Amino acid sequence: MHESDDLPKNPPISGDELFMENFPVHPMVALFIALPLENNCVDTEIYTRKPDRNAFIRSIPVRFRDDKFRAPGLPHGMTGRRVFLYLFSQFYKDRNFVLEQSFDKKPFIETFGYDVPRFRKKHPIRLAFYKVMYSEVKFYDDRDNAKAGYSSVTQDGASMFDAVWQNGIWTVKLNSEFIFKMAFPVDFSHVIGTNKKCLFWNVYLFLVDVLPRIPKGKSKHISWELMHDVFHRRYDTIANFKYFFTQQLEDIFSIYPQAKNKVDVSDSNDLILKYAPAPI
Amino acid sequence: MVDKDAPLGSEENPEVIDMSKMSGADMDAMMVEMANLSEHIKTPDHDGVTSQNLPLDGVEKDDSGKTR
Repeated sequence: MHESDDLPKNPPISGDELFMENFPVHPMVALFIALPLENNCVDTEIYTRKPDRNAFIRSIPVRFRDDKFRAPGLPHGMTGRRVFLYLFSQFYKDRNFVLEQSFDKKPFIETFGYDVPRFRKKHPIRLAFYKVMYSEVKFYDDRDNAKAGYSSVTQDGASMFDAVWQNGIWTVKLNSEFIFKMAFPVDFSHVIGTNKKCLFWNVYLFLVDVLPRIPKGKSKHISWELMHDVFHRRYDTIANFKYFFTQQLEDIFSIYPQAKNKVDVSDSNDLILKYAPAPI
Repeated sequence: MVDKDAPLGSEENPEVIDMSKMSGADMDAMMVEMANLSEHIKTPDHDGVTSQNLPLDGVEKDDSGKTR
């Protein structure tokens, strides 16, 4: 019996694989980088350079009794990123990790690496945590229904976490149905101990995701134009972006020394990367 | 996706709650309210209060965490 010619020979079956056919990073890394820097943004979207194939993260709208929908806004800035970096790190160490935390106790603040003397009830990390819990991720792929052999990923697995709030305690674990990888080898001790901003951690997470996946002895070329897309086109020109990207590297190598000499920015067309082991 | 052309307050274009301007207690109260309205966050029954009958404008805590 012959396989139908209509069937792809090696059909990707996961949302990650579909997304990464045209994009060099995992979708959650792309969405992390695209998280807003400022407050009050409801969603942000990643196009993977294919028409109608995109992933987006949005703040979940909730219908209130006045019939209006309201949303807390996307996690943003460094606090929003810190919650994700913490969860990426924990799920990398243990896929079955369960976070059980009360908001009314200092350990919650400490979990995310903030000092007890600075503890206060209305700490920005609490707001960031709420926003992460009230975010959903979706993935649209125009081929999803067009070709046999693909699992449907559209509309499914939107909730990143199974989150229960009971008697003042949050219990959070990874949603087993979630379509995208949520575990990355982030060394959270450096997130706590290194006073760096969002853009630094965007580059760090990019390298932590990409370098360990490159086969040993091989190089990976990514055009600067595509890199500009990966970093959400926050810079006016590719030259500006390249300057910014290069500026972050030395400090990143100080906390991810395995990556030193594995990141070549000298080529005018491509960023050239080589294998480096994960930092943890 | 948010449709900026849709009426503000519709599901396609929700209003953003600026919780950064709330007090800690108000933020907690808002989150309890949202948790009870949302299917995403599950709030199991406890203390005889269900998600269906929890007063939306109740459950207000002071900074000690006590309900008042």
